[in-house]
Amino acid sequence: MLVALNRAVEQSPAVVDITDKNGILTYVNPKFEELTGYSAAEAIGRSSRILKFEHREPEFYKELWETILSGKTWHGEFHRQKKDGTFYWEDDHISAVRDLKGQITSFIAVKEDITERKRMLEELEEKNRELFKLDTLKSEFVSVVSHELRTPLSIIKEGVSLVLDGVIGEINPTQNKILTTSKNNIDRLSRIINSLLDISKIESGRVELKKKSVDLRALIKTVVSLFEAGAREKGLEIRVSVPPKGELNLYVDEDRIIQVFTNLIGNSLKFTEKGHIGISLLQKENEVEFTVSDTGIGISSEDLPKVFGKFMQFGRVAGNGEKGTGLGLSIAKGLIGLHNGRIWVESQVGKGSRFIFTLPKQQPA
Amino acid sequence: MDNNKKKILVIDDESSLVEMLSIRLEVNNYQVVSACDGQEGLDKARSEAPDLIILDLMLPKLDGYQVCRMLKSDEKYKQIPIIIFTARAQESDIKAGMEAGADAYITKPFEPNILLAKVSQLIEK
Repeated sequence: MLVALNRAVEQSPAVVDITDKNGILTYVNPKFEELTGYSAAEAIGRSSRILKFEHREPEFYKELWETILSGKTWHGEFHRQKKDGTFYWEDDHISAVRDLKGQITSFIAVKEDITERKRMLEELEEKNRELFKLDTLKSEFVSVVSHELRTPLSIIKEGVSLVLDGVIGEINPTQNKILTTSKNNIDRLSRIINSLLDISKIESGRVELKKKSVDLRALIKTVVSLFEAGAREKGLEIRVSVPPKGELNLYVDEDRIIQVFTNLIGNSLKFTEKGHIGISLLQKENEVEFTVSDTGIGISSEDLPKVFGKFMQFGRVAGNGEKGTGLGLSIAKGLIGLHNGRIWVESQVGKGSRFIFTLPKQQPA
Repeated sequence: MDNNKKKILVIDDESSLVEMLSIRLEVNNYQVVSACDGQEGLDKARSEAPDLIILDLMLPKLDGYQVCRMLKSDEKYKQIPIIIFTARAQESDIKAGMEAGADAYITKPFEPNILLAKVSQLIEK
């Protein structure tokens, strides 16, 4: 058995050394020799201090000795120097061996070279910091650019509007058509800028939610009123299903939840040619579940996992429909996430889509 | 000049925007004076006695927040309604504008009808 134990220590991929009670090395295994550059013959009989290490605070040693003397194994890291002068990081387990009278006779140390692990960790942390810096830079860039774009855009829009509104003089139907298209596209550009700003703020965690107690019935009424005209124009019905009785308040950012609904219903309206759009609300034990459903073209199972990604546009039909930014659903997801809710989608091609999101009843302030 | 016309002071360093906004306001029976930096705006607010001020935020010399605060803390001018007119549409910017004492805000690009509605609402008050 002893022979086997000895073999185990000799073959161990970890450094094992034993010192007497005065710190003089009495045993080192082959891994010790390989790592430190000291042969067993050089090391044995000398103080374990031949492996110099970086000075630490007195509390560090105090804790080390207290742990060992209390009979426990101390675990920690040392920055040490090899025979050739190079430094390395060591992960140590040190414990004391006592005789029958309880006197310490020796110390056993099992050590692992963690230099590479530490270097990789530091590299990762450095990369993370760089990424974070880049991300912040990107968000700032988007924010500055958005502001800079808005001013010239407002000049172009007002110029086109002035002529279109007939303020300068009457215009003919063709001129009207051209300017109307121009104006619609200026508004589209505006929406893109706003979406870009929103997504960059969400991604950089700079959205400040203005939470207050919100009456959900009133909120849904507002949302429906925004889309009534658009639905009527396409001959679609908007069906609302809300529990008729009981308090329906949530502590949320009203504008942001309206924005989520707007993005979802806007999509439904865009991709539904006949049938209806449904908006429903379901009380659950700890959350409220909202659904926006439609009888539109649906989303293929292939595209389904990608719908909440950025700049994803599916099933777009050429024509005069309002073009999207490909950001609406990722913004919706981000905003629901900020409210600690969940959002997901179920869909069948040709039958329609259901977007479901939940908001917890207990919202942090 | 028609003295019954209400006078609006537009303070914005984008001269093309001021030009077009002036056309829009004049067609709607307002008289327009303009200033292209914060200091000129403050001077004209004091000398021209406008009925309403449309104020950009990012201005040379004095920024819009400063102009707004100075006018709103002055007994003589604090009753002049101020509409903050800005491309900075972040909630924090709008909040800072309202805290500086502005009566309303319009973000650029703007809807002409909404701007006109706010103007007439604040002037009638």
